[in-house]
Amino acid sequence: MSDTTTSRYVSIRMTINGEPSAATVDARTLLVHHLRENQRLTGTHIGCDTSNCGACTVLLDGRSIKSCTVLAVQADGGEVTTIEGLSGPYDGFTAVQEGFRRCHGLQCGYCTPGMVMAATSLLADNPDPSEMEIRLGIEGNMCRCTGYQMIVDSVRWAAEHPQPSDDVTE
Amino acid sequence: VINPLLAEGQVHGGVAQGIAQALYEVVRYTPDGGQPVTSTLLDYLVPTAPDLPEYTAGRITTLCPNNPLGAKGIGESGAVGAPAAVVNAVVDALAPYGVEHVDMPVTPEKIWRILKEHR
Repeated sequence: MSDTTTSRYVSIRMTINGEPSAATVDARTLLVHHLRENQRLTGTHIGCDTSNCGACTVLLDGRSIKSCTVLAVQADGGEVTTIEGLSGPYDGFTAVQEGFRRCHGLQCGYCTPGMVMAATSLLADNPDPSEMEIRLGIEGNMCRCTGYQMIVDSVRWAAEHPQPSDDVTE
Repeated sequence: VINPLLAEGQVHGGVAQGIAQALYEVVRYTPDGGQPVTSTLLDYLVPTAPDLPEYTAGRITTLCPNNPLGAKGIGESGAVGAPAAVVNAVVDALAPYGVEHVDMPVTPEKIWRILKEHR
């Protein structure tokens, strides 16, 4: 391998879903490809590759980002959370995931990991969002199936039930 | 209705697609070579959550006469009615200008041209 070829590769370290992770990647590798192909975390989806659809949304240092618009090397030293890294008090699911389950917040499921990550970021910023604040909070994420209303309902449910309580029944 | 929640979800999704067809979504080709110029989601406007309203879905349940169970699919049936509802509302609003038809999607540019022509 010539020097010009090897110099394209970069060593990176990041925390992925709480676990330290080191890798050597081609400098041009997108974060979403690093997550899916190198780390085999295929819960993060690729919908468009042009940062329009939001299916690849993950958290980088707690903020939602479209991982097809971020190079893996830009996440060097950062803390990445993907859909696989979520866990919470609802039988292991977070309130957002439980809300999607209860309120029929998904149909085909393709946009769902991105929607859940965007909603998680929204509720971290604004724990009690109005309907329009929820709609604006998930504005970067496209859904072809649901028409969004039940996604909005799901996020609202999560805002109202951050923890399981006795009055929440099946 | 076997699963009312799923059925309502299908109607929501269908209405959303119908509204989008009426207002936003179109695939264009060059007139000479037939090259597609709508090639990414930058050129093809799929509505996101703030672009669409909240829906109230109702239901009239009738049995299908063509099979023993009377069953029929729900799959996004809202997509049938929504474009007509939206476009007819636009045509109705433009009735004072003598407009009887507007091609989908009813874009702001089309409305602007109609109003300009009929001023």
